[in-house]
Amino acid sequence: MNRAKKSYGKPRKATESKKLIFATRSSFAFRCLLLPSIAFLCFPLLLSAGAFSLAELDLGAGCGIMESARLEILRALAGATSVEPEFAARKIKLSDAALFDEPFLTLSCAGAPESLDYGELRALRLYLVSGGTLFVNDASGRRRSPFAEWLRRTMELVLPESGFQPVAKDHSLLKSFFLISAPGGRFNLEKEPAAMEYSGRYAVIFSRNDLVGVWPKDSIGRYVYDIPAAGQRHSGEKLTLNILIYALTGSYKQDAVHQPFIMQRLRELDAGASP
Amino acid sequence: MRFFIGESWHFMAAAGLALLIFISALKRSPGIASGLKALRLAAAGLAAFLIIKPSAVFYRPGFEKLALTILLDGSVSMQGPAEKNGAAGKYSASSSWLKKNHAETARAVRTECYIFSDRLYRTDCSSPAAPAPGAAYFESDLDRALNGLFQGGGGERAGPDRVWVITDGLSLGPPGPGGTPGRFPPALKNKIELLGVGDPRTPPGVVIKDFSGPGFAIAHIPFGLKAELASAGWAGRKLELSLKDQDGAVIEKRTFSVRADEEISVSSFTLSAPSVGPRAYRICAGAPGGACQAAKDLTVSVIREKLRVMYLAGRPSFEYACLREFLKSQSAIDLVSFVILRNPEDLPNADERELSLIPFPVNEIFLRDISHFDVFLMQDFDLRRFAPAPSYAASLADFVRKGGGLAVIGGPAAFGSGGYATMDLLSDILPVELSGKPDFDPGRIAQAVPAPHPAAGDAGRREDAAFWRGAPALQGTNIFGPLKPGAKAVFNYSTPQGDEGVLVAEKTSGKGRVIALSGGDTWRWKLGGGRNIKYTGLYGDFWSRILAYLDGTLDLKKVSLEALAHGGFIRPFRLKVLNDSYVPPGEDEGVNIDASLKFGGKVLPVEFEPAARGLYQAQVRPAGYGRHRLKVRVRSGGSFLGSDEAVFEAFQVGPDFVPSDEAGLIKAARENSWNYHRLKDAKPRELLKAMPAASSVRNEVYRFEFGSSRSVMLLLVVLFSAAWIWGRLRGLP
Repeated sequence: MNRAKKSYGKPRKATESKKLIFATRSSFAFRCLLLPSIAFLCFPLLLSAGAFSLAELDLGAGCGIMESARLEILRALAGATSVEPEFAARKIKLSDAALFDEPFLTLSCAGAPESLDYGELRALRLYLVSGGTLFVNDASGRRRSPFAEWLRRTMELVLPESGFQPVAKDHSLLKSFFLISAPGGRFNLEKEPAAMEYSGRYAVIFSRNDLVGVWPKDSIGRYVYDIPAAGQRHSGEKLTLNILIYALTGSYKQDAVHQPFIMQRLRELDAGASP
Repeated sequence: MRFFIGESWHFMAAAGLALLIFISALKRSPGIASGLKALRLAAAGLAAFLIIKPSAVFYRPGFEKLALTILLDGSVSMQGPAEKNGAAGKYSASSSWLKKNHAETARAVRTECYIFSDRLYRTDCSSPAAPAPGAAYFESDLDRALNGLFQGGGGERAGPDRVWVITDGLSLGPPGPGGTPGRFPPALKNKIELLGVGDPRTPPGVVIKDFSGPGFAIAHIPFGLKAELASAGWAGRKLELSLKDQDGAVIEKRTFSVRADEEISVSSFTLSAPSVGPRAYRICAGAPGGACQAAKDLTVSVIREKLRVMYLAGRPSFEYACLREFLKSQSAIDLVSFVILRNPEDLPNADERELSLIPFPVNEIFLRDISHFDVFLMQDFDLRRFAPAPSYAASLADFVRKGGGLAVIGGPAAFGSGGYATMDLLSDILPVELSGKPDFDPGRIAQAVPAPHPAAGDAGRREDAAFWRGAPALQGTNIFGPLKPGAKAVFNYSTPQGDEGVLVAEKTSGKGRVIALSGGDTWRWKLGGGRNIKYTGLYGDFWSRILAYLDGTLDLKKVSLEALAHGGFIRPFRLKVLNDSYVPPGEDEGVNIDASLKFGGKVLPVEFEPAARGLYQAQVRPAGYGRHRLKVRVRSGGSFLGSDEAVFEAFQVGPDFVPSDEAGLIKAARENSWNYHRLKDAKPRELLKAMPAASSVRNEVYRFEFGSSRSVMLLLVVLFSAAWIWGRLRGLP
């Protein structure tokens, strides 16, 4: 976890950290009461087997999601939507039989993982063509990212019939819950995420803006990474939740019955009423 | 006289060549007398002549009689009276006319007579018999009859020189536009004389001349029915026309005033059928508020253009995403789906305008538009929260009773956990008893075990225990109580702890069907296809069968009797039999069919013959005119598989007078350049005069075959013998 933290972002200033010590200690007692309460409240959710879990694809060092980011995402999902997620952490290797018990997998890496062997490539292909969805997050913040290059090479082998394309502005991914007008994220490297389509749905969704990086918080509830641009974090949070809701509803928002309402809202946003 | 040669030119050439060689050799022979040479030449020439098989034919000029074919309509309408209150039927009037005039026609032309109905039946022109029961069809096919006579519509062979068709014009199917025979091949132009039999005038009263509609209609889509009504003696009075459905309920009623003494009015009705299958309609005419004086029935096969599915989910889930994707991928399904994305207490931490959410249209779904759907899927849906008024559950129950299919899919907010047990209208139509307490166990691992039910899939896969043991287990189920009376399990499940329960159950309610699915994660079967290729397709098969059950296309009957198309009095029936595992029984299973025909207090045995595995056929001869009930009971291996019955009516042909369709016959005659005459006014002499002139012919009187003549052969022998003897006398070799 610590190692992953180092690799993700710039360290906070020392003085700033000292100022936080008191607040951190004073909140300890509060947390002692709060955490069991949260655990108690979340207990039924933990029992919701088959519910949505932010399972990670385990590709070894250089990849992973900070625990606080995972929990923040799931809390935001539970708080904003009717989804009752499962909070237990799950890491799945491509060689695990349990791969096919998780319809949604997240892969967040700052560097390029090792190349996949034949068995892993085959398993990943079977997973995606059978209905699985992979959300890939580039946490490197580099334009010429080794991870992005690794992903491109790997996916050419896994889904050669497809290819990464920018998500269309009117695609249901960008309106599955929030109406997305800006991509957001910890970085600003792309205007929209990219995706690989298989059988009419996005099987692989790829963000280079580090959407996962907008979520982690430290022990007193402050964001781990500063994001200078206004609204970038909020947009990133919204897009993250949209990706999860897309995995759980498909192209539901594309249905004709929703179009008039959604189009009206989009027109309002485009007319300058952007929040 | 004409001279013919029986052999080909090869023989002629060979004979000529042989003769030339002989002449040449004869010339080079010294010391032979000229007379002997002439004798030898004559013998050789005669032999060469006979080789080519010559014959001489002698003719005498003469005339050939023209061919006339008389077609007598054998349809049931011809059995009716020729006139109102008349005793003689149209058919007997026609045969009397034919009998009376046969001698005159036979003198002038070569005459052949046929009764035509489904095909041609040859009959004696001097005493045409009434059509045998098997030959009296409801319609007569004139097109087929003429095609049979002229072998391909007159284009390939000449056929008769003239055809007289004696008919009332009421059932000359298949009809063309306007209900009359359509256009016939131009080759038949001026070759047909239509002779209309029967009184064409409408008697006082009401007659429904035609009640027609499309052969097929699409469920929910409006279609039209047309009724043609002929009234006579009703001038100044009102007439009521009622369109009724198969249950006798009036769909539409119209009243109109009749102005003329004889009037034909056409009424069109637009209606739609709520569900698929054959639907019977009856049109009924009479005085307003009075009894039905004329009626006609029509059956329309209602088919589905697309299955209309409403899919409602209580929250986003992988089950929703996968099932919605599957339903969207089916070109034969029109899907409207809603999912509750946010509960009222959820706070998205964003301005409302940033959300792509719409208010949940509960009234539109449950009250206003539900009747537009065939199948309603409700997954993990908390009715207490989103549709609490009793009218919503009542509407859902009413939807099912009227023929809709409902699938209730489990989850933490469904069944006992969703408080369904307290909603009487909903719980009454469910196939399982529900607990009054929360019944969802999220940790319950359910290994599906198919029950012997057609909705559980094909028998081969159903009986493959290893297949199902290895199938991905479902996780999290509502725990159902026992099955209700009349309900059946489609899938059961077992847990690793050895518990068992019902996974999928079904029950009919009213005209509709209801499925309860206790697990809400069948998506595991879809993803499982990636882990093991043999489970690819399991997910699609499962939901296809569930939908087929819900929309009524999956047949659940083990014994089903089906009436096949018929044209005569004999009624063919087909019996389909499935065993307890819903597969056609094998030869070793010993199927016992007890079939009987009930008519007027009599019970007659009926024999069904095997046609294929699980299929049996019988030709049922009605025991008389009237209502018959064919009942079948099937047993196999000591167990009762089921029973079915069919009711049919054997009509007494021609009980009422129906005026002949003279207008239709005149129209057909005009369109095809034929002639029309009323039979009672028709004079055979004048009809015969209209025929083309008889053609002159050469009749062969005598044929002389040279090769077969004894005298010629004797002459040949004499010539050869004389030449030989003469030569020997001269000392020649």
